[in-house]
Amino acid sequence: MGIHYDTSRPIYEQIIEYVVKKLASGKLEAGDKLPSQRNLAQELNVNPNTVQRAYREMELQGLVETKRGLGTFVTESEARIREISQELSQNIITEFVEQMRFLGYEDCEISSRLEKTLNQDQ
Amino acid sequence: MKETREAIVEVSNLSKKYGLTVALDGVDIKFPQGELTALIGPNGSGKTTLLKILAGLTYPDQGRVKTIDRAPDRINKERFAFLPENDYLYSWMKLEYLIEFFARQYTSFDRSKAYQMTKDMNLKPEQKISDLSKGMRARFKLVLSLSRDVLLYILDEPLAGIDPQSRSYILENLNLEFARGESSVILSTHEVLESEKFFDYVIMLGDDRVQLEGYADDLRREHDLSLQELTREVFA
Amino acid sequence: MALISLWKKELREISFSGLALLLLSAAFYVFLYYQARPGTIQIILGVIYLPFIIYPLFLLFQGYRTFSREWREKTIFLLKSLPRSGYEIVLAKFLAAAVVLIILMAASSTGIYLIISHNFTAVSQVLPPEFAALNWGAVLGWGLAVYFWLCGFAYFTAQLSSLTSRFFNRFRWLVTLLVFYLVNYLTFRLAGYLGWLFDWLPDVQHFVIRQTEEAAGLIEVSGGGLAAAALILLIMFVVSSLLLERTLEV
Repeated sequence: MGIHYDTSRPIYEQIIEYVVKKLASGKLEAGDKLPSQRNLAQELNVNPNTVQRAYREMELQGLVETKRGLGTFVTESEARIREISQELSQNIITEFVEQMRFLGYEDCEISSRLEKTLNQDQ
Repeated sequence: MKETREAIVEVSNLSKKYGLTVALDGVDIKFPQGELTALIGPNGSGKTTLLKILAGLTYPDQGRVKTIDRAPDRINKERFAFLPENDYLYSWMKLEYLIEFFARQYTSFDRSKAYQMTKDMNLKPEQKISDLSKGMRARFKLVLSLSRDVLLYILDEPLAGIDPQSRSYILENLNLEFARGESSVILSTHEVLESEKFFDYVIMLGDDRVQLEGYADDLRREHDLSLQELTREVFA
Repeated sequence: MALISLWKKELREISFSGLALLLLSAAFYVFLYYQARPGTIQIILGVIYLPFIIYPLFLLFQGYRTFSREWREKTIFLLKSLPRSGYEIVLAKFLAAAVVLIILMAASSTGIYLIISHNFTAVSQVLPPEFAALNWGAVLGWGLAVYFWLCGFAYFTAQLSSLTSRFFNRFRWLVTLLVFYLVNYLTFRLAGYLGWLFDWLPDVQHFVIRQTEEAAGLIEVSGGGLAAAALILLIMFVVSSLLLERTLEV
């Protein structure tokens, strides 16, 4: 399991997104232990200091907690996880809408095309 | 912004001329401790000269150098590892001879680690240096450097002219080794493509001086560009 | 341990040319051995020492080549990265050359001994009678000392010249030759002063011919001259080492 990096964006942010996606999809749950920074660095093939920075940022956002001597754990607060996964989904929607508008689509057209795609998938 | 750590290597007002050619012109750099710092610049930008000065193989015309905590003299050479750009290994030596030779010369050399890494890098100890391909030689140079248990690794163009396979192999191994300890790495390169995700700190050297420096992720955010694109822009 | 491994490496590097010279010398003595007859013994005694003229030239060549090769093959990067002093590196190189010289001399001496002992009657007929009365210990001892000094001198002047030429990017050959000439000139001037400075040292005397007390048979070596000769080699050794460790760049 790896990340396809977009090197024009900070890599630690992409590591955070990787963890958040795992949370949103249920592969990681509240209270789970995250891999050690070194192991994750090896797994994702990035510099360990970058992983360290991602963990620190996630701690600041209240997404993870570091327990001294035990490691880093996903927060117990389900509310915080929901909040953050909603934030992520909101970001994706915002970006989608921005790009559609950039291509010249009207808002009603965007929603109708979106609906059409959703129906097709079913 | 990430807080700046203490410097593992510090140079101030460093100048070096070769005849009429200026290689370095009053350069001030602090290489942060515990990070993998990439020294990026086109050929002829003074990278090699700078690294040779840090390793005590060349002497500056002017300026001060502090490698770890003192001048890069004979005693200090035991405390850092230097990997030069060119083929500096005796071509008649077998890999095992070189491993033994290094083990006798450097007390910080870990013989069993060297044999293990040789194996991991798909090399055979009984091969001769002159029989190795360029990529194999580059891999073995890295084996010899990384088998030393030191605070600082200075690697001059460890990826230049190497096939992509060996290159990613070397990078992953370097990252693996780096992830293991508290050491610092200074790595020079003129191409950034596959390697940029391994860098913590970036210093761009061009026209005999520093053009741009900072933490890789900070530079990406500030400029909204990959290091690859940023390099192209800086050296355009 | 570090010095020994460095010395072994140098020995390995010099071994090829050393071996070639050894085989050449051996072939020469084998040839002389089979040519030796009462009729030819005089010619053979005349050329039997020829290899001993070649050996100092070999050391001269080695002294020049040992560092210029390190630079040419970029291995100087490895040498300068080692936590070794210039003294250790220069000493390891010199000791390797000295060992090869000793092997060559031992082999040649054996050759000479075999040729002479197998033709002893013929040899004793052509040699002047005083030879039997020679104080061989003193003659050989001093002869060897002077010979070794000469070889060391050839080695270190060539090495110093080749190291000095590293300061220049072009005309290295010319610089080497000029420095070689200059070093020779300077050392002989210096030797004069040093000899005068150490004039107070006692002189060494040996009788060349046993059982006679004639002054003509006396080897007299000035103590000052001896000290000067030793000091000059030492100075060249120190200068080479310091150049290598402190000044020369790669």
